[in-house]
Amino acid sequence: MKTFHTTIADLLGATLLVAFTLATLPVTAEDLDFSSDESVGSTSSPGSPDWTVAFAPRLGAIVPTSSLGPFVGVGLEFDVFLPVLDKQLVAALDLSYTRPGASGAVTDARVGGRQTYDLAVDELGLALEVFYRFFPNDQELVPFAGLGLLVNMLQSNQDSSLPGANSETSTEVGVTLAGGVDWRLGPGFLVGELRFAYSALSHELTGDSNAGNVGLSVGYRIGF
Amino acid sequence: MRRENSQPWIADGRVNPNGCSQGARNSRRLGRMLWALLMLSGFALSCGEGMDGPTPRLTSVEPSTVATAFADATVTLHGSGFSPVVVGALGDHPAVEMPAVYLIAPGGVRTQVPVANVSFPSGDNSGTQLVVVIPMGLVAPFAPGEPDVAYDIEVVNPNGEHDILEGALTITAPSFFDLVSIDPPFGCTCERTTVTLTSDGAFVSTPTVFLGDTADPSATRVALERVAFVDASTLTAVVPPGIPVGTYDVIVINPPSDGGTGVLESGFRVVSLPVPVVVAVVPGRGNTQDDTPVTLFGANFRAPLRIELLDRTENVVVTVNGAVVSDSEATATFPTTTMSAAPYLVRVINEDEETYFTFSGFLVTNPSGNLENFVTESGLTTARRLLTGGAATDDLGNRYLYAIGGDTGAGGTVLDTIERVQLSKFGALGHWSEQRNRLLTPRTGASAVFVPLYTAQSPFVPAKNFLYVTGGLDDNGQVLDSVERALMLSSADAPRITHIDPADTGSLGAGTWYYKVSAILSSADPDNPGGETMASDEAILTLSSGGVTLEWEAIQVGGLDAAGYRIYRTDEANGASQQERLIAEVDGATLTYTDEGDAPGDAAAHRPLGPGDTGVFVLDDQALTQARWGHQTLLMRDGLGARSLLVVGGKSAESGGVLDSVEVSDLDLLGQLSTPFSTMGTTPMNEARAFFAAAVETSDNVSTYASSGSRLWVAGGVGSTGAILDTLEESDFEGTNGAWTTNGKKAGRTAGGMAVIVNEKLFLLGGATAGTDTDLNSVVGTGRDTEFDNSGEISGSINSTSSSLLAPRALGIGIAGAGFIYFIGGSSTGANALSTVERTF
Repeated sequence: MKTFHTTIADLLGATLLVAFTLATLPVTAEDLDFSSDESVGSTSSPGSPDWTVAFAPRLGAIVPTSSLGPFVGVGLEFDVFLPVLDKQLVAALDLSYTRPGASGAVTDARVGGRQTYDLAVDELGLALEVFYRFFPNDQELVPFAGLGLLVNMLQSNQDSSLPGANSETSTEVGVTLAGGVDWRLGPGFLVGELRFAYSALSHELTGDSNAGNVGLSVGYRIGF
Repeated sequence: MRRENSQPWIADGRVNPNGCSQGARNSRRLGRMLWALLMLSGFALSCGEGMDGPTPRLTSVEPSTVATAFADATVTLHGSGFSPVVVGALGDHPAVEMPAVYLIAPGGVRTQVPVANVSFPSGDNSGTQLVVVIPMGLVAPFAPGEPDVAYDIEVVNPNGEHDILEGALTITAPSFFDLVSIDPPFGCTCERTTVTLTSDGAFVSTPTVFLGDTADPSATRVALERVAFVDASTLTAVVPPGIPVGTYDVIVINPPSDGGTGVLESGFRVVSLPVPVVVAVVPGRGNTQDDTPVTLFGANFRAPLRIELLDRTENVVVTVNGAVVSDSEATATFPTTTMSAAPYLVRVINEDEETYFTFSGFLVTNPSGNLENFVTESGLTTARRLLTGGAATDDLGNRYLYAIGGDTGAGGTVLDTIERVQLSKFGALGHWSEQRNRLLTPRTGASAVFVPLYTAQSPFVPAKNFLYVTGGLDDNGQVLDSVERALMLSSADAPRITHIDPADTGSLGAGTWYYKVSAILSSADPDNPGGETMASDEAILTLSSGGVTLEWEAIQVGGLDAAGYRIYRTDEANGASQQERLIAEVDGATLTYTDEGDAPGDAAAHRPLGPGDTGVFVLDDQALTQARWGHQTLLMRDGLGARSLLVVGGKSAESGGVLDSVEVSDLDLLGQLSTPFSTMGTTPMNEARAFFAAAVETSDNVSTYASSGSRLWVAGGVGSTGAILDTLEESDFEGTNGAWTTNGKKAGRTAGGMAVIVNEKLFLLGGATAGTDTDLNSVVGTGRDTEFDNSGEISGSINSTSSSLLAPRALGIGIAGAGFIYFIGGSSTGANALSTVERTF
């Protein structure tokens, strides 16, 4: 069976490859004419980014909507500025990862009474999202909001006072909602984002639960 | 042999054949479009769904053969990688999911053992063993005669990994043995009932015993508690209260290693009303000349009441109706004129539910009152001459005989040991055994008496029983004036084990272990200072392995806390009941103990004290005024019921010094000597005597004795000149003994003879017919008897008894106990020592 961490490496690699491929496709800028000053209107200030694509890595904290505990969350968003609405509509592919956990105890005479356990859930999410940016990129502050479809790859890892460590893997479909603001800083934007992600989590090890969380993160968006 | 599973498998319907969870399949379809982006990029991602973890490996099953047709069977699976998981860890009720165990029949049919029946051994969470309880009737064979079946065993971890061991467990058809009886065959649902089960020698330590509803064989069986293996033919067990009223099959199942099963169909009834109990039948004997009105005392008597008299073969020979006076008293007239002279059991039956109690016993004698049916009983473990002893009843109503001290013959050892034996229903003796507590000083020619204490709550069974031993000659030739006292142990003082549970740690092996706990009393305890109580009832636990933790209630005796506790255990798993030995001692504040496999002691002192044992002997504050041996000590009562010890005659020196003096000490209501021994107010015998016979006449043994006090008779013995006497003297007791009257009748010229009063007669048996105060010889087994007249006096002739002892005997003891008469030890030559015992009635 392929290990979960191998899967993570695969996905990261795949995401980067897709991004690279999309970024270097000859059709991107010129063919779609996304980058012409005319197409984005005269509101752009001199030197304002007139991006076709962008990347936005981020780091933050997440609070799960289940009984899992808070944890660090990381993400990488690839944006495509669609040539409509002054390029204020963005399609995004977002890859996120976090690993919240929980501990507890259970008592069962069959195993000699009280036993303790630690549970950690690897959550690797891949979301296809659409954002609306409320101003063009030539503004100092650009609020945005969006939603998306999430594919959440989950692995529950249990270590306990019982013999042997066990894990359980599944893939769930969920949703994301995100909003935030870009603040021009240097060649790109400093990104502040509040993100809600939700999918089911129905492992034997966890019981019927969810892999939802609310995350607050900061990142940086750079495009070309 | 291990077999790899070649087929896709499903564990609890949780995982599909391609290894992905069913729940993930729908969501996966929706995600395929997104996955396609990555797939197009050349990255083939497996879904990787399902559980992953250790893989179990099965190496052996122990035992490899069991029978499950009539009982659950426990087996232990050995191997590695047995890995339970905690499921629902994020929910409100996380739980442990154990590996699943399947029995796979030769045809491939898989049967899962209930998950509740799979566990780790106590204290072993290594994942290398699983304890599996295979429920009764889960798989074939189901009945005797069916062929054995060899099953593969499969273990499936919750993560789906699995292993199969082919032909690992053979389930055999049960074999049957004869379960002969259960006694009593009924019990009230309102209380616990102790039962004894007998077989034809087929029990193997330690069986389990169940009651199965006769009318509904599918109903859940009730397990009996505290099943104790006594021997291959005998078990004891306790039927718990609360079982629905009805008729039950009794099912005894030997351990899996044996597999034998005994069934007594409809063998036990659970009734709704308390069963009757009989503690006394008064009088305890009648004769064939007149029918005998009796009063029965006990509990739970209800009308209509039927009474049956059973003979030695326990056949009913007489049935009469009883009149219920109260819950605790009934009357009846036994038709003794239609009965043979013999001992009988008295069975009292409440006809409402046909429940009964069998009491021992009632004696029917012939009009002559002659002794009959002398029989040899089990002998002493040590031959004893010049011993003393008595009969006593414990607080449960069990009756015992005691042989105390004495010597092993002329020039032999003076003994400080005490032997005791329990009486059966028909007065037969069990095996004599030496009790742990000994006299403080070896004594021969001493005299002992039991002092029972009755209470208003227990008028027939003594709440306490003290043993006093006076005087004697020690092993240095010193004549003793000291008095030793010991208390017969009471079951009421024994600790009660409240819990017995497996412990996580310990090296005890698989099987049944038996435990007892006793209390060590305070050194300030007046009756048994620093002594030990009777041990608790057995606590019994069957282990797979590990240790055992006991808990018991604190003991307080006489207002004093126990100074400590002793823990006893059988030496090995599946040993025999009542064979515990000391393994540990804890202080009085400790009320729990965990046995992790402690080594037992091997000395006699390491056996627990039990029913019939006395506590430690203490030197009584009251010593005799005159050191003496070859004397008699008797329990006397005056007309008001006050009791005293009367010490009569004997010798003050090893040679010579024959005494006529009498000294007395009063007993208080607690059975303690309350006044110093004194000769003041007593009357010396008309003739000095040693090694004489003595008996006490009361209204209990002579119906024509009008006084509520008592009268002392002495006969024969060695006189002050060293000559053997044939005179008979009597003295009434009223606080002190009154004037002695030499009865004109001659008792027969014997010394070292034995006297008893039964059947309204005085019997004098055995004794030496020649010799001196230091050398008796010419021992006989014959005797004399005479009837008491209408005034309780002896006025008729003294005749030779119609029956004699089976062999010559002198310097032994004669004891009238439970209606029977026992002659114990002594000498057949005057010099040797006897271990033999005879019984008559």
